[in-house]
Amino acid sequence: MAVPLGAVITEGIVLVVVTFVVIMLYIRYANRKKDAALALAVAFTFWDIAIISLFINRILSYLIEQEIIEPILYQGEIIVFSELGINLGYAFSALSNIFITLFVALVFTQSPMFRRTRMLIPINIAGLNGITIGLLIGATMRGWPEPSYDLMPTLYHLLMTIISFSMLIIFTVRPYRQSTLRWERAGFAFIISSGVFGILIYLSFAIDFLLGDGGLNVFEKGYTPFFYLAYVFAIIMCSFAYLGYVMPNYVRNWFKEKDSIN
Amino acid sequence: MAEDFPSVPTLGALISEGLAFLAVFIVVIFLFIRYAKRKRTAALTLATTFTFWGLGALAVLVGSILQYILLPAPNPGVIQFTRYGFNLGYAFSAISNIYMVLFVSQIFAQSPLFRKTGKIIPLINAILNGLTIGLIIDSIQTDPYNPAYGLTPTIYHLVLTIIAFAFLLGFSLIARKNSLYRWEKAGFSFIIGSALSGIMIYLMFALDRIATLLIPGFEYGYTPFLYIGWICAILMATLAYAGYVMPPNLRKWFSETEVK
Repeated sequence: MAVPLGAVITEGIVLVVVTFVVIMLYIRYANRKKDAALALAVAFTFWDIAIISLFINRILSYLIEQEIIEPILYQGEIIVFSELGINLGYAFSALSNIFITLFVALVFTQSPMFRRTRMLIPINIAGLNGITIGLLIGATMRGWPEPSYDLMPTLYHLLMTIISFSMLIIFTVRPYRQSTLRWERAGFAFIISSGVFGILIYLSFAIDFLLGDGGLNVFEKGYTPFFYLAYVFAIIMCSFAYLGYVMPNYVRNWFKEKDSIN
Repeated sequence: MAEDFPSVPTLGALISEGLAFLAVFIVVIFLFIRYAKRKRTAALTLATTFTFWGLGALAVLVGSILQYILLPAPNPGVIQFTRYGFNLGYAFSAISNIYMVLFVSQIFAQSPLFRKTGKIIPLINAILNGLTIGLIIDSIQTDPYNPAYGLTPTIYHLVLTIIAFAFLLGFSLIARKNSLYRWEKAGFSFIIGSALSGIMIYLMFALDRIATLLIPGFEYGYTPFLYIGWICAILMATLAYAGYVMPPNLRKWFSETEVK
């Protein structure tokens, strides 16, 4: 399937947005030196690496298709970089899920659930997301040099993402309700929204796969509107994550001013 | 390339698999009894570790028995039960590895390594072992009738088992060195012996697979390495019983020799 230039540009824009959030998260960690802040920065770093993998491989595929560069061969067959990028992207996203769960466990360590189970949940989530990586490595090795992009890892990863982000959402709802200051409430609301959009990204990718390559064939092979929608959700997720986790001073002051007026 | 079909298991293989499962099953019961008495999280983690290992042995045993009784034809589209047995066995063993490292991190939580890193090592270990399960699921998905029993996951799992047991070995060696009583030293020695046997199991299974795939004359499978592997499993379970459970009479015997 031909790689549209729009897909390359979209991924490039998302890469810039995620990289910005990652840098801000590391600055925040450098200021506060908290384990939870580091776990969050690592989670977004892996997500950033996922986008880098997608972007680089998509560019390579595009350049090869446009005959700007020569195809790269493996034993006489062309390496399909766009498919490789998708599998790598999902693998790094699986790592990101693990660190999101670790972040939740570290932030809400005093909740009854984590006081009772300690790190058992993140360790089990790590094993379950490890399965995603194993499935992707299997699919890449099996189909090489055209790694197969299968339905099962796509849906399984969606499920894993729902679990990780649901934990984030559920645990954030309580402090949101209990917080009295407006800027605090806004911060938690941004984090919850970020979690919701995080789920929507992979839901859109799964729908894109089902409607395109996945067998329903509603759209011509690949790159349905849901592919682009997923990246729109990614930009929204990152924006909310920036507002919620980093919360720049001007946003915080704006909410504080509103509080003082009321 | 011709499809690789498994051979019919030998009676000796069935007996050794059955004995290994029985040995692990007994240890699992004792470990849960121990947990019921002490209610320690680490004791539960250890019992869970051996439970998953027991499930792995059970999967291999059931797969082999079905293959032995039903004798499926070595044709595409016919379910080869031993392949399911071994693949599921490795998957359960990977889960067992996850809990083994978690157990070590709980028992030696006060060691500088775990105080500094928290639960990051068990977390990374869980990812790596989850990967084994993913590879196994992928091979089952690819051919649901005759899932591949590949050399890559076998060796990868061997490496992860060595890592998991090496943690146990390393920390037990330090603890053994620091212990004062004879029965304590003996307990740690049994645990070290159990860990070494645990590594030997998968080393033997990997050698069995290598011999089957690469050495002429061993194409049928069920090489001597496989039997040694199961003997190591029985040894691992026995030493684990002596080390982790340590029955009162054994402890008493060591305590008495101390007085002398």
